Amino acid sequence: MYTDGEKMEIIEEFGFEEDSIDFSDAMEAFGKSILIESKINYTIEHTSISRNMLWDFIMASDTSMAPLGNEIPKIMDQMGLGTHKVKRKDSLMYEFSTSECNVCDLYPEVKEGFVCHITAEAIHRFFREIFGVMTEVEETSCVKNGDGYCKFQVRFQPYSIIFNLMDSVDREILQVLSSTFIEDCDTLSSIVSKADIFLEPSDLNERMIFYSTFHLVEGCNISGSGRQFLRMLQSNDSNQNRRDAYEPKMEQKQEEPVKKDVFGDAFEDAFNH
Amino acid sequence: MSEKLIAKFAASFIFKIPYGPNPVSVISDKRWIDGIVYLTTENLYFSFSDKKSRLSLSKIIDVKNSYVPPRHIIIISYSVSDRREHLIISSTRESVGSLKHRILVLTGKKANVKEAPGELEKKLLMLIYIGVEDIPSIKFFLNIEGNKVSEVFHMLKEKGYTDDIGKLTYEGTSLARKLKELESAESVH
Repeated sequence: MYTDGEKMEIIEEFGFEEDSIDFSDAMEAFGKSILIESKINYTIEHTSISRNMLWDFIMASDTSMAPLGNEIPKIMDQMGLGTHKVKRKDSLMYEFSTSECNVCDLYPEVKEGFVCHITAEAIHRFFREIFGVMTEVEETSCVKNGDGYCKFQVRFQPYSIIFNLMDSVDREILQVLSSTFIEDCDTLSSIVSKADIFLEPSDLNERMIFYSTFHLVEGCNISGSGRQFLRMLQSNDSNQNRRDAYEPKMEQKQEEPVKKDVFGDAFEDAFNH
Repeated sequence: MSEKLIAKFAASFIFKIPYGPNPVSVISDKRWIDGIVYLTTENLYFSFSDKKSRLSLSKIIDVKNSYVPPRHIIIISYSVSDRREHLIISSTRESVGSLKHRILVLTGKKANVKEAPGELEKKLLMLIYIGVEDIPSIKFFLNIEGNKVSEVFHMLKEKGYTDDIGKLTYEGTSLARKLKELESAESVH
């Protein structure tokens, strides 16, 4: 009988010296990376931000005008990742950048390359675990690679943004649009209010910009994709209202969050059995 | 360059799991081996029960982390001759996280964090369920390229959730309903 361990390549001696002087420096760097990992976990688990802040962030052409755009640099700093600037590059595409990268210092054994996996994953986790939205985060330049800044391109997945940010009012508006063909966009406001949806013109306008960004409307009429998403929203029993849930300030969670990915669990279970 | 030691910590590991989509399914308490993990500039070493073992970093294909209660783990996929295998390491969340990132750096991988394929499969399943079947819409909503759409469709078909023409099977529809119920429940809370 054999153990699992015996199935690996067994060797007589290690190929390194454990008591070398370099090792103490390396362990110090490894210890620092463990500390940063710990700060990231703590910050993500103890930070609660309203979904409305993400809405404002996505809708703002200048992220410094949105509360979340100002919170992100503080949060990145709390995580021990350096002070990042956040800039909107395009619809659903943002750039995080820092010239004072703490992560680059964690790899004294690496001469050059793109090393900021910790930062990329932290940004990804921030949006996923705080807001439930999916992103792709890619490091596009790195101080360790000789660049002046560490830069990260953050692309949001439209599906998850729509699913997380649309509320019951959006559902009602799309419902109206799906049953009416609007020839003159100037009549939109009155058509919507005839359906007992009362919104400030600026609010309606902002929502229409959001639908347009996500290809849910063409002009002021619902698109094919919009109809399909309306079906999904109609089948969702939630009556959440993004506006009612507005909380302007970042707050500390009162209780330790229970991390249970029931969505993922169900899929995993289904795949395993 | 001489081989330099970079990290060392206590861990548990499971060696040589046949390569497949879900290495986590083979985890059982009996298989864990307690020992010490050493990371150097060239290799991962394991010390356990008076034995020493080695995995060259050049053989590593991919590293992922996961949480299988109560353990935080990383799954290392690597090649041996003409086959692929998995190795699982468990330790504190921070230790395995740091190890994963350090291995990614040492193996020259560029930082690019995306959703796991499973997440994309879930989203595509939901899109098909609600009637979004045209490729341009799917590409836009999931933010993925055309060849990636084909890949995810293929995975769903392989798993029996869609048929040859991309329609949901009975199993696919049942799973989509279950996922939708969970999404609704999560959005209420």
